[in-house]
Amino acid sequence: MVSYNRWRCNSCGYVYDEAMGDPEEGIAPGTRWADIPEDWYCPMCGMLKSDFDMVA
Amino acid sequence: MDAELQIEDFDDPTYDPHTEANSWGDNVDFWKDMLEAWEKNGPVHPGDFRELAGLSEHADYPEGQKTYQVFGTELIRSILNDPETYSMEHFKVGFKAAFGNSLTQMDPPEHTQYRRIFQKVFLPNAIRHWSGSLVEPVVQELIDQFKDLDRVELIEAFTFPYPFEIIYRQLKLPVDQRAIFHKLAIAQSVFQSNMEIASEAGRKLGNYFRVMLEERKKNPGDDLASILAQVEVEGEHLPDDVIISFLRQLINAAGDTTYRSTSNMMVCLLRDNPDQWKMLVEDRSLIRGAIEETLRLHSPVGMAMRKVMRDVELEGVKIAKGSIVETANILVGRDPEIFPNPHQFDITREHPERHMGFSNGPHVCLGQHLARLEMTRALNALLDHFPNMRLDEDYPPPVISGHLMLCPKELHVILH
Repeated sequence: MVSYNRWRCNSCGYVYDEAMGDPEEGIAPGTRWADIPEDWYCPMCGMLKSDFDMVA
Repeated sequence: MDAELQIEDFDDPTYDPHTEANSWGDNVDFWKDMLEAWEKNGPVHPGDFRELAGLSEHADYPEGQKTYQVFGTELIRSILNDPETYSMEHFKVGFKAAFGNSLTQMDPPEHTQYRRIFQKVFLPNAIRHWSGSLVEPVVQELIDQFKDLDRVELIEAFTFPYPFEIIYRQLKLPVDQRAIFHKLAIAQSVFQSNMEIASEAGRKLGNYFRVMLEERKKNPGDDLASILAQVEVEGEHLPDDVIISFLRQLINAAGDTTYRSTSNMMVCLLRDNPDQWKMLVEDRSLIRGAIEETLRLHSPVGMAMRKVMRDVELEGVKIAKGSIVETANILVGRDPEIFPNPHQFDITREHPERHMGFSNGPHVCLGQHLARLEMTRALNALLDHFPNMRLDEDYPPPVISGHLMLCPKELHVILH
């Protein structure tokens, strides 16, 4: 079974779930965090990927 | 465009909200009082910050409202990130009467749905175009008005007018209506002490923006109302009443906070750290540090409030459903576990941005990136024109005062 990770924005709490992707932002389900461009912004507050931590 | 757009003044046109808007109190360095309350009474205890500041009771709270003060970074973070337990419902009375159906008083799922659409307009890449088209011209035009003087009161001449002027231009607001518009916008914010006047102001601004929005939907331009009317996520647009409430809140949420932050930054630099002003003159890459350090130590909004939606226990203190918790966000910036030597303003500090100057959680400031952009352009221009700027010692040193909204009242400087 494929395992996916979740990443949480330290600013607004938005969680990016690799399994779900973010279709509203054009990110398909299954898209790995590493495959999201570095200049991507959190859709809920505009912070960068570097402001996210992996959810344990 | 906007032929029918006419703002209506207060029933009593002599009413001046600025006196009442200063009901934020005259407490100097209120964070010290908050820190003392924490050390004396523990991280969670009954009471509210207006009471601690010696101000009148909340006019927007029902009689007998139970309130608690909450301190500590992780505790505050857990509250602000749990909107199901800690809701904005308390704002559905006073705040909503003043500002209407605004994003601020919403909870998920409604908040999540609209926040994403609004944020699209205020993402860093979306606001970039305002830098050259709006922010820089406003900053330069204001500086041109006083750059040849020897001395100036910097708040009146610059830090106060610049963020408001940016909003007026974002909205393409007629010049002759700005004074009344500003008065009404500021009056909405007095809902904690005078709900009647805040409601009148909110109603009149709402009527104004309703006409503006209809007009700009018919003849869309590049102004903010037109942009908000058109923005969508997956085909979903913002409802009119939500846009109108957002516009009603704009002066306070964007203008008032940015003027206070910029003023506080200048106090931090000129009063406390003139050596760091000199460093900035030489190295503009430090501007970001100056902005974040100001927000860390003297954010213009020092706290947040949430209504507790179920019985909870925080740090051993039982809090009943319906109580209000007030979180001491400003002290997060002085947490020694996150910020070594926390009370020192240091523009070279690593990771100064981990403060809660823009709050935290789903209601974190929507306009934080625009605020940073405006402060960056403002500070850069002041450094360009006035590398020798310093406090005018003919006046008492400025102090940052207030309990919720923080700012100096005057900032007299020598320019050259």
